[in-house]
Amino acid sequence: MSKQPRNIPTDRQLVDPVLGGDTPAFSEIISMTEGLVAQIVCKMISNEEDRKDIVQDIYLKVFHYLKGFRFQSKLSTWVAQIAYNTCSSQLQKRRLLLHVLPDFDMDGESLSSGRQHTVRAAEETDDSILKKELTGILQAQIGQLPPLYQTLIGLYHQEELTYQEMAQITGLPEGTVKSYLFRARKMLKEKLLSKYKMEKL
Amino acid sequence: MSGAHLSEEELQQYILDRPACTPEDIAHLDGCPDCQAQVAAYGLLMEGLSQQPAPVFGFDVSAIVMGQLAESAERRVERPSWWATAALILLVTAVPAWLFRKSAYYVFTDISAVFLYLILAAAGVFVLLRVLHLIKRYQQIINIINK
Repeated sequence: MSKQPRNIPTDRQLVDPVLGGDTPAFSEIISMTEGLVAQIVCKMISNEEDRKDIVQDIYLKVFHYLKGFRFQSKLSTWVAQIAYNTCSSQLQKRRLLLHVLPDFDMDGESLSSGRQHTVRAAEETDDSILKKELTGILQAQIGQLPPLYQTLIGLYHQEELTYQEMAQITGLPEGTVKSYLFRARKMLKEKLLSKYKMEKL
Repeated sequence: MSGAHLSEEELQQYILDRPACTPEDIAHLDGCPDCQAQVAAYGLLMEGLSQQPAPVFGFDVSAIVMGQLAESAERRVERPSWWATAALILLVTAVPAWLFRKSAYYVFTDISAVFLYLILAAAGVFVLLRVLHLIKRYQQIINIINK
């Protein structure tokens, strides 16, 4: 039987006081879900001022619709769903959800001029890349991905969510989530190898 | 080395879920330096992805939201309660109705049919629009909760 760690409140312990009228208890829900919400909002919305408004909007929705939460999913997943829907409707207004920056090639093919090229690049870079440098370069490359891909990468590789949870949050079929993640990784790998190849030259 | 090179999907699977790879794929990888290099590149990428700094907001979320909630709670307190509103409506409608009760009958008999129709039609359209608005809003809320 799995035990709930003592210092992490259960979803019921978080929700019930708020529904009982203890509004300040809502700050606990914010602190428990803020990281996940940041993962979505920061990847989907680039402007800091817009983020502020959107985060407010998200948590006010969470507060007002909390009595509709049925405990059928994790509270964090439900909050993340609201965050994703709020951000995506914002992006859809501007048609930016799957928008890609000009430097990136969505099919990822033209970046690699063949298998041998990437193989050599990998061999050359394996030893020379410092982890810190890699993190910085990757961060910049991730920033060029479409907002949806950035979000999925963050949710999977940093928040360690399952495909099922990610599908729940985004409303996409699990297969689509997997496919988008696969494409995002492929694009990043090729971009990374291409960058190091260029630097070596 | 056996078989064709591994596809991108198989290379990613090898890093993420090695037990799910077929023995043929693993055998190919053992003897193929090209595929090994690709796996190494993916390995480096996955490591880099998991080490990305977690995004944080440049403002205090809790303070902003709790401030907003406190403000809306104050506004709710400032608003007259439902019974005060009901009492006001009753006063505004019941008192004239009582005072003019003897003339009430003529309101409906002395009014022209066209005018009466216009009033009823306008009221009907207004009610219909409100109902449609409520249905739309209900669906939006349900979508947010259940999506």
